[in-house]
Amino acid sequence: MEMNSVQSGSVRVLQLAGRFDAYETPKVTTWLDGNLKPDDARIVVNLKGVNFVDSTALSTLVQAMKRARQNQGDCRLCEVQQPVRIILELTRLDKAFEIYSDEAAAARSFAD
Amino acid sequence: MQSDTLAEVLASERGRFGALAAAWLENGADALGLSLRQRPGALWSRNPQAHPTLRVPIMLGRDVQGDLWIDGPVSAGNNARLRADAEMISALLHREEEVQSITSDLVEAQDQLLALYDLNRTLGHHLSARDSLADLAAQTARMMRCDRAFAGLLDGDALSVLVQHPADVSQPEELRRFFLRAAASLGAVTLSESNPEREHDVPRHALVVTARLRNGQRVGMGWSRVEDAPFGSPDMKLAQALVAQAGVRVESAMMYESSLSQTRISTELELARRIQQRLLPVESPVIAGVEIAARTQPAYEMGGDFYDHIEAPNRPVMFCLGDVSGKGLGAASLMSVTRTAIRTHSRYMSEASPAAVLNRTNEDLDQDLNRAGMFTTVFCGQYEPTTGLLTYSNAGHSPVIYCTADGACHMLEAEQPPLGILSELSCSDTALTMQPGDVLVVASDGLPEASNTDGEMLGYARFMEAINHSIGRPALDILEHLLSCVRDFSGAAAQSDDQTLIILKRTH
Repeated sequence: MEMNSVQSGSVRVLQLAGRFDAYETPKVTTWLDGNLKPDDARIVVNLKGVNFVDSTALSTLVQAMKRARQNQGDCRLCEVQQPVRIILELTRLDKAFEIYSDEAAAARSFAD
Repeated sequence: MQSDTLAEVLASERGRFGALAAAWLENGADALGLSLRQRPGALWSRNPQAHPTLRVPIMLGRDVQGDLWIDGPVSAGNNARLRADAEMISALLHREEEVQSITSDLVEAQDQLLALYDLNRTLGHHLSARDSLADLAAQTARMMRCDRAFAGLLDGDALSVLVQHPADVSQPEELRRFFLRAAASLGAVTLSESNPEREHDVPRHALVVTARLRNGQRVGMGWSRVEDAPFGSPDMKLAQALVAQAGVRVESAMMYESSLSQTRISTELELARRIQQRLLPVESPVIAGVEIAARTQPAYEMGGDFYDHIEAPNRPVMFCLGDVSGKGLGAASLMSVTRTAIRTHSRYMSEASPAAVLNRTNEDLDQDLNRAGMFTTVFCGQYEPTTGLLTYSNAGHSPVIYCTADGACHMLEAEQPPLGILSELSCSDTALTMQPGDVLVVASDGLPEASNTDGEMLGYARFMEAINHSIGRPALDILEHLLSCVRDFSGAAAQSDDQTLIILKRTH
């Protein structure tokens, strides 16, 4: 899986591509540990290039969302592709995450 | 050192000296006398008033031990004979002293052997590293002919263990410095002049030796004594052998302690695993018109998956399958809490429908799950035998698959996210009427996500295909078939997640 970290306005964005599964989650967890700060816990995960997530990956995203919200921030998703969207819908995690069509919209949502 | 060997030889060999005297008296002397330095000697005489006419010293090295004398004719012959006798006695004294020295060495060696025997006898005892060192310090002091001994473990520059024999005679900081000096000097150092401690102007000598252990720590031992002579090379060799012995004992003690603690942990894990296994239902409930089969296979000693069925008067049996995020002990302890909450609500809520139980359980556990950074997916269902009505509610659980008797299968989506995500869940009950031959499969994600040795996942499609192939069989056969498909696919790959399955089949 490829990982790319960019800044969109005042929000940090993690762009992922490839299979997001148990083998890849340690890298993502490390990134989240470094970017979810007590005073600024606003992040976006761009899943444009992700065609598969397993339960460990979902669990990592949920934990990031919970940690961010505990610090008055959030972990929002964007550009969720169909295979991943199906999984999110099956588990109704689409109701738990805020999901946006693109990175700019997700970043802008923090300003609202 | 002044010795009184002549007096000892005289006492033990008086008969031989008597024979020597008799020979002199036979040859014209009136008396043979042996004078000692500080005590009465011996006199063989026919004349009580005898006095020396010829006198020769008896030497032991440079030490004059006494005189041999005669009262008799003064002649060159008698003088030479008396001198020869005195030299013979001197030679005897030398041999005597050698015998004494060898005897003393033998006694000491035997004492050391006995000490070594004691040391080895305690080697098999399961002592801690500290107790082993204390034991060694006490036992080796005697072998090193020292009145003090100390031993310790050096972790870098710090002393993690220090024992002294006798206890607390020296400052720990001073001993730590001794160990560090020894460690810096190829493992051994002798100290005497630099030691400020003096007793009666005789210096206290110390010998300190250290050895490196396999874990990088150093074991050190030191001995000290008050004596004129400093420690020599044999002392150093013995000390190094003793420290090597100390190293073996400390490492063995550390390994024993570590294996003891591992055994304790694995015993506790085994106990926890048994408790968890006993929490799971042993037998499936008997419900008219349906077969139920269920099983769980944890990936580790403890699992985060659970299944349960709860019977209560005047309401249909509630069955559920849950999966706590994460694996191992943390997931297992949250699993127990979740299971208990679901059981309690299923039994005691007045309107215990699947949705009501899930909403209430989420209320109870939301804070705990949040604090732990975890969540739990749960599927709950009730089957009403008289109507064939299946009522269920699903909080984030997948896969749940419903197959009709003709083999058409579809996934039952969750209505709400898992427990522990939202502070309030609004699960609602869904009802469907099961027809004879219809099958409900509730599985944990560890089944479709099982991987083979190439890292390839079984996937939902293959899992559903396996269900489809076995749909006509009894519930237990379907369960066995699905588990064996997953096992065959995984091959030699280790199971990485818990695998749990409930099959509910309407028979008539």
